[in-house]
Amino acid sequence: MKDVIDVLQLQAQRDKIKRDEVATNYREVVDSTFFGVQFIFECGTKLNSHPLTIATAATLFHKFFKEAEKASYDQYLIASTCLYLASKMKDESLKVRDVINVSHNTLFRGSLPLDLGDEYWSMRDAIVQAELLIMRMLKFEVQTVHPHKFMLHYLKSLQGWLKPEDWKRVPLVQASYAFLQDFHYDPSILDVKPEHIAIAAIHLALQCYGVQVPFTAEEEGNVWYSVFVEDLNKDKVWELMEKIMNVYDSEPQKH
Amino acid sequence: MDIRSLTKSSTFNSFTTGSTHKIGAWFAALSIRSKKASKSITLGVVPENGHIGSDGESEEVSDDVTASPVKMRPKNRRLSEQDITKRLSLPADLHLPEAFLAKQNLSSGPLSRSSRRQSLSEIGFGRTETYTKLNKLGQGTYATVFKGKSRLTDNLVALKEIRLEHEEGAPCTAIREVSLLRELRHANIVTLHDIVHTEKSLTLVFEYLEKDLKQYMDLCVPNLKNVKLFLFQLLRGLDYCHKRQILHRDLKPQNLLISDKGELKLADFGLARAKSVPTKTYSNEVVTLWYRPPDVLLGSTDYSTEIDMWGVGCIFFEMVTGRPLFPGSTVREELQLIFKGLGSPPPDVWPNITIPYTFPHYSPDPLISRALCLDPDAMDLFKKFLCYEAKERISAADAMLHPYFKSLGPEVHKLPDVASIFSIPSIKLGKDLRRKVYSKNRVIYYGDRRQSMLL
Repeated sequence: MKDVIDVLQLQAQRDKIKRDEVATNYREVVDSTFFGVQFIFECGTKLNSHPLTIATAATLFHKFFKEAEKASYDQYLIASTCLYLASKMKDESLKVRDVINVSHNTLFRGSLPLDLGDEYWSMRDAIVQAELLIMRMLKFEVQTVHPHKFMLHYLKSLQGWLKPEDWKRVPLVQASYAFLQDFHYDPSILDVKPEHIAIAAIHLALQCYGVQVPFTAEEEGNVWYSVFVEDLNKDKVWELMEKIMNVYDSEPQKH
Repeated sequence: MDIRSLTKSSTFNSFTTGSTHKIGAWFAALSIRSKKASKSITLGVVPENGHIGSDGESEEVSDDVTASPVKMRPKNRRLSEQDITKRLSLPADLHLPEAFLAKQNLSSGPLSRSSRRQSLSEIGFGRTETYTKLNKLGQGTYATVFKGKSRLTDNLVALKEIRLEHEEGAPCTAIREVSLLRELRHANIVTLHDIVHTEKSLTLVFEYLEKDLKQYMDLCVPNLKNVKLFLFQLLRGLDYCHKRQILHRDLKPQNLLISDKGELKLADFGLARAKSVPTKTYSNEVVTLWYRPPDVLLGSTDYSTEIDMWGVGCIFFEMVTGRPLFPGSTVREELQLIFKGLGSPPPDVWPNITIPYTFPHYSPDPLISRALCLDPDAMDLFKKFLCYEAKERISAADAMLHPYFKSLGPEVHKLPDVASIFSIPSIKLGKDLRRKVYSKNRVIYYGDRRQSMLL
């Protein structure tokens, strides 16, 4: 019996260390938009938001800081507001109180939900005002075309194109979606055509698992994505793939 | 724009009378004052009574008597009327915080976008004082619509004032409407001229149109030629939206605005949304019951552009006959009217839906066909709008190519998006039958058409 308990304790301890490593203390990390986006992803996931809502929020966040002076705004307020605004745009209205509680708890880990007091109301007012500030900064042009729908279409087509055993063996869909979603950490997502991002993410997944699309040979310039888009060549795709991979190295030193 | 109309403002006059040389000094004083007063808001916690101006800066306290309702650029370039209308046709331009402007100015070449935008605001765009409220036109759940007047152009505008005291901040319908309308520029979609943001409200400034289709039909019955023109314009506007994956979801005569010239424009995009990934279901309960397709009435959430096409069919019928096609007040009654009118649906038409009501078997009502039988093409098109199977409903793009519209000529399909169909010389609005009301139940028209329908 003793052994078992020891193992459980060890596991708990390991999990705790792991958790401490992963959880970012947003109040102490260096000021970098990377953590702003991470904050959006963390809060969005906790609020059980649709991935597209999170993607929209991240895009809004990048758009905002493209226009605004970074030092003038608290990026976590903007991040929470982006998430709230994105949820309104995507038809899954979050309650402002939930957004505040989750954001607050993420910033001050372990804290209890805020009482309906001055602190809560000033946070609510801040979010409500920042929401319109963001709208205005972006000249009310807040709609974005997401790469997701293109990716769905391309993957659907590849499903019938790849060898069935390859399709079954490899989690191509999950990997591509993960790459795409993670690429939202990078502000350059605003500058790339959505179709191109979708293709680069899929191509990266194909490369990772060493899957060959039948009847194509990249060396000979005979690529699968030429069926879907015309304005994309091998070099461009590899450049985009590199950008996606860079996201995983771009996490700044926390302190 | 007429610069002289600006000088009519008494404050401006009082300033200019006496010495004509003072205008420059006035401008100088003005620019100094606004520089002093404006400071960009910093968001950590926004002060409770922070007065946010329409330009993203703290609004200056304007107890200054010399504050004219309209400001002009210090280095005044004379603006031609064309200049302003050109600007007006651009949707609202906004003032941005100083830091942003400064950044833009550093990097800008000659007359950058941002400096143009700045000048727009100095002219008076995005400012509350620029618009005079006249009378109230209507009230919705989250907004009040006023008739108003722009002091810049003396044009009438519709001011949709959205209250922001709401617990959840700006209503999501407003956010969706604004963000969608920013991208839509079409002759058959209402133009959003400007957006004014004050502490308590967000006001959308739309072009003003005299009537909506409901009011129009209350006054007169459109003649069949005009019905064709209205229907075509409706389809044109919808096609433009649907091509951009935007559904209107709330089509009804009240949301179709009609100008004196006979231009029809889609309005009220509060329920519209850009369709995103098809994995997402939509909230149902969106369309006003009368114009709602049966599959959506039965709770289907897997709808697409066809949702709007059913409504088009209903509005088509209403324009021709002067009465709504299926005026049900409950879901059950609405379905019953539909089934009575079109005949019971075939048993396998909605495999995923069970009908929670039992209805007797209906065969199609011949009266409905008789209403439109004046024109076999009209009848054919009408039937294509009102298909039980959503996927079989004709699309807006295909409907425009239907033989019913052949008489409009080939040019109507070649128009650029922003051109009205009335820019084609051969297309003119005909005279309508005036409606005379004797009693609530009995309506008689001048002229002999469609009498049988009404009695």
